[in-house]
Amino acid sequence: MFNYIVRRILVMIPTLIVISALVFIIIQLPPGDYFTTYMNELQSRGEKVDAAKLEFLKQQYGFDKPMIEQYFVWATGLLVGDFGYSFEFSRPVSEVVGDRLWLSFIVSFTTILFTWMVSFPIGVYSAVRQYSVGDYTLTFFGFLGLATPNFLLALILQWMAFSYFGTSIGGLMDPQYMDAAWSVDKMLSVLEHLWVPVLVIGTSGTAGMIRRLRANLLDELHKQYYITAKAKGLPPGKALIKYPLRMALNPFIADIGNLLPEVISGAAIVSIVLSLPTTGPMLLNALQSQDMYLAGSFLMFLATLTVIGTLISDLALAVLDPRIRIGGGAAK
Amino acid sequence: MVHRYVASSLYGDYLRAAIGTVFLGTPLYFAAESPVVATILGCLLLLFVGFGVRTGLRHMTRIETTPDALVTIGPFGRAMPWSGINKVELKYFSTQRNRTGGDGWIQLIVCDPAGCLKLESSLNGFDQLVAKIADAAFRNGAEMSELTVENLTMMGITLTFAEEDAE
Repeated sequence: MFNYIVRRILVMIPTLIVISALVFIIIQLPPGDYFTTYMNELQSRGEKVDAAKLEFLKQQYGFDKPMIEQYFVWATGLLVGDFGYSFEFSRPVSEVVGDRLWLSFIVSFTTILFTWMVSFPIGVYSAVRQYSVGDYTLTFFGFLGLATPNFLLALILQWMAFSYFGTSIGGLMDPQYMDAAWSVDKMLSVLEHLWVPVLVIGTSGTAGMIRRLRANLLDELHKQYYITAKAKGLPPGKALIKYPLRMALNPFIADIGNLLPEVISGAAIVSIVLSLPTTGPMLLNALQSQDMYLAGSFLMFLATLTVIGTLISDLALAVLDPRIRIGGGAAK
Repeated sequence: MVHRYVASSLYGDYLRAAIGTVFLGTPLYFAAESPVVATILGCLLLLFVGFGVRTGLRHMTRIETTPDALVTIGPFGRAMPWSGINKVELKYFSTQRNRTGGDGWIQLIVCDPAGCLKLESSLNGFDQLVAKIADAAFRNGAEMSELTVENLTMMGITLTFAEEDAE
């Protein structure tokens, strides 16, 4: 396993280098830069624009240097924890992002946990009790979750939370805790608000996950080895958990890598609707205003999460299913 | 028979350890401004340094099969009597998801009451070694998971009693 972890981490290094280059190219693709956009905005408002000042700012922030040099400065900065400078906020990116990153992480992590906790038992039940009333009912709710737009569900739940529980509209905490230091009361306020975004973002993922697990498990349940195991007297629960469920879990676990960015990108729209202080809305603003280091750091954060998600799922798969595949000869 | 880790595999592992150490050690040395980043880099760096040390230990290790025991010669060397083997695990790892690219490797974990020994398919004569250990484990009634039996079958090793063979 040690060998496996080392090799997988080594694969991550070039992957992240290529991603960082692509991210940098993408954020440089739109014509102009932050200062040009800012000056255009000033001009459209009829304010005076000093061209010399524009040139000076561009020089000061290294915008006049070749792209490769700018990339090198940014990428090496990322490696040592310097994420650059946000022009819009006139502060270092790490300060601007601050709590938002942690709140995004809390929302995403809870959503993934919710998705798994709901979809796993339902998926297994639907497969084991195929075509039963329970299977049809759960499948119906699954499709309903898949078909309902997230923003619509967000609005409905927001209204329900306010009407029935008196939870303040929008945000991840009550307004008085917005700029306060972390405390037990602030944590409780976050927990009070958390269920709405988790439910909204989680429902679509849950429905997909239920369908996948159900289909995988049904494939396994019709195989000879399972029928033989039951015919030989193995209790149904043990026969299910020991063999088919383990095999059916492979695609389920392989999905973690995709789940992380899906949850975070899905959360961006919901965050705007729910006015959540997470990274989604800030990323959108940064991309619109060409605040390149802020946008670049966010995109790198998303990419790193995807790569880490894939690593986690690969490690879990390696532990769960270390079988030799046909044609998968071992390297000497 | 004496088994050693083949040189090409060891040099590959040295290279991996070196690349990891350089890539993670350089930013750590030249100032990681954030303590979180420094901790992450430091932990990963330790992992690669540990990997390098383990490769070095493997370089010095030889595995010998005698009529009585499986003997490890080198650092932490010991003899594991064939009659003492009580658990065997055979696992396959690959960094490719479909696991059919041929870049994978097999890990054999063999245990007796005194401890466990981990061997990898980069040992020369690994298949013969696995067959011998599996045979001893089968005779001892050692613990073997279904996955291990499946993997042994995939390697072309079938476990039968000598009496059954004679019949």
